[in-house]
Amino acid sequence: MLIYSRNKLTTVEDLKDGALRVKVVSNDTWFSLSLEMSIRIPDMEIADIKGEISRSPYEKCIEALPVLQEAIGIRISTGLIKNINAFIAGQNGCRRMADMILEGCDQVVNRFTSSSIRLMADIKPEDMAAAQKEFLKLNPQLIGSCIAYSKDSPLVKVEG
Amino acid sequence: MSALSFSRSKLVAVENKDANTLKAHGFLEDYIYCMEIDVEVDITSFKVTAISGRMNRITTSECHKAIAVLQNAVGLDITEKDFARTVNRIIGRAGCLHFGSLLTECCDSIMQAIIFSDLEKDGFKYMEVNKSYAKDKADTLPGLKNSCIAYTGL
Repeated sequence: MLIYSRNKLTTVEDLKDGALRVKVVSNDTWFSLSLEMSIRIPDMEIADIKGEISRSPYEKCIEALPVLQEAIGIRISTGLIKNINAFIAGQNGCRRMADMILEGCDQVVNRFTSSSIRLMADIKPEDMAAAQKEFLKLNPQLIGSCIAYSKDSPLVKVEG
Repeated sequence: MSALSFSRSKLVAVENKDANTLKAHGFLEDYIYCMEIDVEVDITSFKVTAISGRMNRITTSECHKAIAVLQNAVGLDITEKDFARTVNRIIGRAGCLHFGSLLTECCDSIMQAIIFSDLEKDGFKYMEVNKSYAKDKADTLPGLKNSCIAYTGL
């Protein structure tokens, strides 16, 4: 029998003004938390944020919510994890909310990567090498990010 | 009205394997990837003792090589302060970032199961936890004290 379960859902929406709306909902055996952020594009900056803790074993948790405002202005770029952990987690904050912000930011990055991956799905095998080269030009952040795009990977060597 | 441009679901379930071992099954599905992990942790040492994974939907011919890299996690202490960073390095960058993300979620879920195991034993009957419960956990479980507002100033 299960002693604990967690269900975490993150969604990204493109808004008419070009910004992205990110929602993260985490429901587990003991906590129910939700977070909504808007991300300014192309700056990739957290422009607005609000969170809710609707179920928690500790009454004190709700007192950590004001600290979320410290995330406004932080960019999805180098130093993101360090900044979020410094401002949102820790003695006056909420580590779970910090994790949810990072989860939301991860999916913003994946939202942009997925557009390129969709295009790759329609490429014919004979055109794949050239397409792969173009793909990495559009997504240079992928190089070195995982085993598939390590410097020794055939996918990167084709890039030349 | 706007449509979703990306969505990711992560589901983790934790169960007792035996008296000293918790086992988590993690499932990740998003617009791009679908993968699963089974991980076991010894609750006396907090160390990962076994792990396996499956990739159900991937994007490149190289991704499957990350399955073997999961074995790097065996021996890691899930209460280490830099656990998430270590996983990101030795499972994520060395293998697959999404496996790394799912493993971190699984191990965090196992920690939550350990923290609230006393409540679970009581049959989920009460949710209001007094300050002494938080203090007891902060004093006895590594890495918990001062980690957030609930475990500070007790």
